[in-house]
Amino acid sequence: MNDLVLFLFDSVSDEAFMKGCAYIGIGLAMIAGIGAGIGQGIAAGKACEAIGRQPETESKVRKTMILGVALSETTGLYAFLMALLLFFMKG
Amino acid sequence: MNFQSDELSHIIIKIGGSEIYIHATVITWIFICLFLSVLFILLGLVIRTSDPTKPGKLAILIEAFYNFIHGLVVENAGERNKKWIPYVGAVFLAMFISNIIGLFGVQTPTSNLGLTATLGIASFVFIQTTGLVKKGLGHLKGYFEPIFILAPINIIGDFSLPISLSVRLFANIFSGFILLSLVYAVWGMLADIVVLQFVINFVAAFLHGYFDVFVGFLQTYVFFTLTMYFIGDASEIEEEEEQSEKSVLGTEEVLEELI
Repeated sequence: MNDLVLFLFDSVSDEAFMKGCAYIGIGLAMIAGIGAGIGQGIAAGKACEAIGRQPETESKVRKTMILGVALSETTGLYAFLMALLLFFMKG
Repeated sequence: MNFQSDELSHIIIKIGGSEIYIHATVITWIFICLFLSVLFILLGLVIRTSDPTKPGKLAILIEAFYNFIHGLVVENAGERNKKWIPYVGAVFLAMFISNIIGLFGVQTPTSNLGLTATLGIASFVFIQTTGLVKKGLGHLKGYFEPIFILAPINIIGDFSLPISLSVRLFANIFSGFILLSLVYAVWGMLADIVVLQFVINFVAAFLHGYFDVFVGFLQTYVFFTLTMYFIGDASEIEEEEEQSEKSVLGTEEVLEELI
């Protein structure tokens, strides 16, 4: 058993190990997409509620909602940026 | 994976022994600025020569654009910041055109962090200068409110603004650019299957519409909404308190009359 583990670690070059770790990091970084999705969903849902309560304010609510959605999308994009940086620098 | 060919990504000018390295982003940006300068001069001539009682179609279009920028500035920064409309209008249009120039097959200048960081830092300097001019030392005093221990947090909060502004714009445009590059890479792999290529053409057209036009406009709008909001915040001089006092007086008078 011990020999097998040693063999596995020796047979993987440093470069390949780095690449594998970078790809795992990319996967972990993209978990942040969950947050952006939930945030956008909440914003859109609340906008629907507001329009349902006061249909005459629809255009104003839509404008504010699009602004809020674009702002909350940013966190997801930061994660995507990190993933891309890992992909191009280390992958 | 290589998304940009090295021959097209930069120009090297050799003067004597030294080499000057010019990135494609700079060249695209210079061309956009030249184009907009000529455009603004021509549109100014159109506006000046047009008859106010009977405006032409172009004059109405220019007025609509002006009203849009006017609304953007006045709604977020208040009437007192009306003088910034020319700056916002010019940079808004330049940024919007550089976001949608991907439609013409040029690499989008705003997918380069250098350009978006420049714009973010310009906004930061703009906001801080406005605060210093309008409030003087009161602006610096604002960092030590409500208590002086919070000063580092306030300062970090202010300095994170250009970073978040520039990285937001960059990440949005760059992610669209990368996704479209992937779609085009798939298009190139399917050289034998013409039917699939035909389908991918429509997919790419839809993605261009979303990532270049919609996201490009939205991010430009978000950038300037935030900038003008912070300008309004920085140039705020206790006007609202006076107004609220007046309104309180008003209600008291009404109450007296009723009694």
